[in-house]
Amino acid sequence: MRAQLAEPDELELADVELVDRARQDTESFEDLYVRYRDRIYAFAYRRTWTQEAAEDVTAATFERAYRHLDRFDASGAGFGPWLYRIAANELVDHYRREGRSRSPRGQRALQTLADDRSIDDLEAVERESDVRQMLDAFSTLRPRYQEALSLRYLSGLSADEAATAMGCSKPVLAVTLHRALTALRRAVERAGVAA
Amino acid sequence: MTMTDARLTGLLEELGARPVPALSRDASARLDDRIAALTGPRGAPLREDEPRSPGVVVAFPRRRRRLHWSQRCASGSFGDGGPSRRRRTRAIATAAAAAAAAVIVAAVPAGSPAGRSGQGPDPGLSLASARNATVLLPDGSAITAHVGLSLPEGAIVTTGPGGHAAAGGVELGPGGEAVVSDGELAPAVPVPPLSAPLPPTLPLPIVPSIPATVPASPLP
Repeated sequence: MRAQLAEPDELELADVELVDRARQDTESFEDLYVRYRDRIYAFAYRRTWTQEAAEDVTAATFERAYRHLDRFDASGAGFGPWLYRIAANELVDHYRREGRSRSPRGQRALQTLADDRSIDDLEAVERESDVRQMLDAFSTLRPRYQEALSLRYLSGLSADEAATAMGCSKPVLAVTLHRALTALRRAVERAGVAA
Repeated sequence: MTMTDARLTGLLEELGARPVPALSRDASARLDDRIAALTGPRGAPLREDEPRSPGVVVAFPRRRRRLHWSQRCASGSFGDGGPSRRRRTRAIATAAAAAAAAVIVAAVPAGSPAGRSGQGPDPGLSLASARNATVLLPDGSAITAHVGLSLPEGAIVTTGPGGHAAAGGVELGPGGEAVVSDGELAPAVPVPPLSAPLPPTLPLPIVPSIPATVPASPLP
């Protein structure tokens, strides 16, 4: 397989080549899809914690990427970060459609998350509770904050890659992340007071 | 409750590092189908396990020969033959498809149901795209709509808010409902919401009541 033999730079180059080909030859897009499918699915799953939602988001991500392939700028961050950004936006749309985590699917996702790990001590119980509250509050944030936090912490992208994926510099991303974290903390606090 | 930024960052990083269950084979196939439908030459792909008419096989030889996505992944057959072979194969497939389509168009008059009820098995209607949609099958079972799903006669496709479905060139928007009738997706007539103003009604003319029994007139 090419991907296993290629160095990181060569891998990105291969992505760009595949995108170039995919603009004329749809089968090259299928190669890109195979290369990124599992990664995008894992990214979506970490936000939604349900397989069906992660599937929907993954499919929608590739559908949108395919339709807007002509907008991909090869001189930018690379295909991977570009795809992650689309996925992050799809997640925002997903939560908007689903009525956030108050929907049955959202509740199921939080339950899945709670069931996902064995909780055998007090500290772990508190941590799980915090995670659930944080995820509940996450989807109430402004889309740009959700995008920044998802790309930086849930996608596995480095700070540089996340910044280029968002189309901003690293310092701007740092400021955005700081504001997003502040907004998230306040949302968690509001949810705690409301509860 | 109070949570510091550091605590939130720690939780996010922990969440990002948690293992994710691998895509199941079914889920993987569903996803592959959706993408194949997007990139394929003719909408919904044909699954290996679905019946197909001889006409379709002749018309689209590329689909027939092509392995399923998951099989291609498993066998590592990507890249075999290179792009030139792919282009050659596709050129042949496109030419064959065009020729077969021309024959079909010439043989079947526009709008005639002969193409569906004529010779050979019916290829059936299948979903070309689906999002947030449900299909109620004639046997009463409801399943989540996905691309490539066969729609038997009488099946009802319902889309939720923000949902979308398409089959046989008919698209269904959010909150829509359509019935498969005569091999086509027929959108149901929208029912006006209860809050919608009712159309003005004309006053009924007052008709004098007719006595149930007519008094017998005295005979002359």
